[in-house]
Amino acid sequence: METGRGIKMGSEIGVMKDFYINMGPQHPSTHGVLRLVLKLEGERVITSETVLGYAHRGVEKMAESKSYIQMMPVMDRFDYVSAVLFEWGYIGAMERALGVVPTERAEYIRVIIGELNRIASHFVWVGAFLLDLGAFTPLLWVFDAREKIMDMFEEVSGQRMTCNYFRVGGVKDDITPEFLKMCDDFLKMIRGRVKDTEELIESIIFLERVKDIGFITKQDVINYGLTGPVARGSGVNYDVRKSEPYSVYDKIDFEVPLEEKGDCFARYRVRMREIIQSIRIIEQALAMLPEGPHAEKAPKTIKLPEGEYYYAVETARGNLGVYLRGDGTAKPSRFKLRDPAYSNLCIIDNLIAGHRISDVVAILGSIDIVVPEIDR
Amino acid sequence: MALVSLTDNFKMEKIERTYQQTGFSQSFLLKDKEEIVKVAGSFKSEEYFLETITAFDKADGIRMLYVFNKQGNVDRNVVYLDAAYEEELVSLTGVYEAAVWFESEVFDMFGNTFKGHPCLKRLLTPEGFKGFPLLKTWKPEEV
Repeated sequence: METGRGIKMGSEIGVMKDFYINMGPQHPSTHGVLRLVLKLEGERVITSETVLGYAHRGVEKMAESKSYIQMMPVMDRFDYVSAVLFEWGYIGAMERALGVVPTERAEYIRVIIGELNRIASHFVWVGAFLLDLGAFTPLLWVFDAREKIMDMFEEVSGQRMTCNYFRVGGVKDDITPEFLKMCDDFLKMIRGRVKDTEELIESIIFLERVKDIGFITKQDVINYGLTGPVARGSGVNYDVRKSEPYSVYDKIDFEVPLEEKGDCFARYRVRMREIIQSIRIIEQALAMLPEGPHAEKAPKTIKLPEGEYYYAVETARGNLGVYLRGDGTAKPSRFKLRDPAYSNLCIIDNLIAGHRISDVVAILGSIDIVVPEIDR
Repeated sequence: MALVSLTDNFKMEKIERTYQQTGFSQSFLLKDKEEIVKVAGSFKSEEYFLETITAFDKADGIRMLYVFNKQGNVDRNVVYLDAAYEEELVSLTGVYEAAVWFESEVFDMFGNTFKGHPCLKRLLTPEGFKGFPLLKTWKPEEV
């Protein structure tokens, strides 16, 4: 039967073929501006294509016209959830180039601040992950705990999220007695809070949503270059803090939590267990905190000698590599980030194929992405 | 370790510098561009992962960096490869899936294409963008 619009009824309309849906660029579960073009058959995803670049600011080009010091606050603006850890990578690369060794006290302060940031990042992740899955209350719980970390950052650096706290040779200011008191109160409360959050979250509804979906094998981890909790959720023992110990991590006793299964639930478990390990690290670092200056004397203008410098740190999302190429002037001739979420996200198209559309939200959430870091 | 024999098996020279100086455990300059696939294959058979592929503009062409690293203990190897501007190189996507996005980004920023890449396209810059921004000759006014 002709409908008058050139469409034959019954023959093709009844079976919908090649149905596409744009998930994003402004979808709550893409945490920023990321687009997944999903080809669907009913509720099931056949193929998917990731479209990046909505938050691309060309920072790698911008760095070539900015001095090394001007770039320092920019480092906070990639992964704003674990900003301090990104500063660490950049400062580390410069220290490697200049041969500056930070003071002992500065190293421990960095570890304390860095691990606090990791806890904050994992808390934000778990809140946002649960929000994606339809649970609102955990977000408020975790933001309450994160708020205390933000207050501590404000106390030491004057900023809550984009701290700009690390300097070549140390940190901007010494930690205050008030900070130590806040830290003490926080550590008394936090273990209980992690336990409460786990008990609140791990209901049958949550487990049904995240178990046995989005499997990543050990082979995938090597093939796609996955790092961080995504790799450790598949039983791969890879943590830059252990494999390439920077700062004073080799003097601190902590475990690398591993889960063997490789599904979304395993990645959730890894992050929750990592919070406990971060607490252990902070407790030890506070006990070992030596007296002394908080920063080494560093040159006022930084000029990197000719050559290439690479420095890797473990951020909350995985292995961050900062590549700097100096040419003897005050500006880098090449600045490159090997960012963890970019590498972790590249598996997503293959990972979600074959899953239902509601699982896409859970799988994407379990990867833990921050879009400004991916797009740069 | 098999990787000690890299310089024997392939036309590459070792660049002498230490991990403390640069963060790279070993650095190689590969002479034959076609061999990068075999080099990557031998890294993969030793369970190295591809940490990144990037490049920089060295005024008379592009120098590519292929960074391979080990998961357990750090052994960051960088393999350099010199190419002309907008030259077609061989893709590593057959060896490592991670190369898909890394090579797309190099294409987007430097203009080198990759033979055998399944979906080479601009990844980060907007649709209809002209020029290759990380070349030293590119100026923001071109936008």
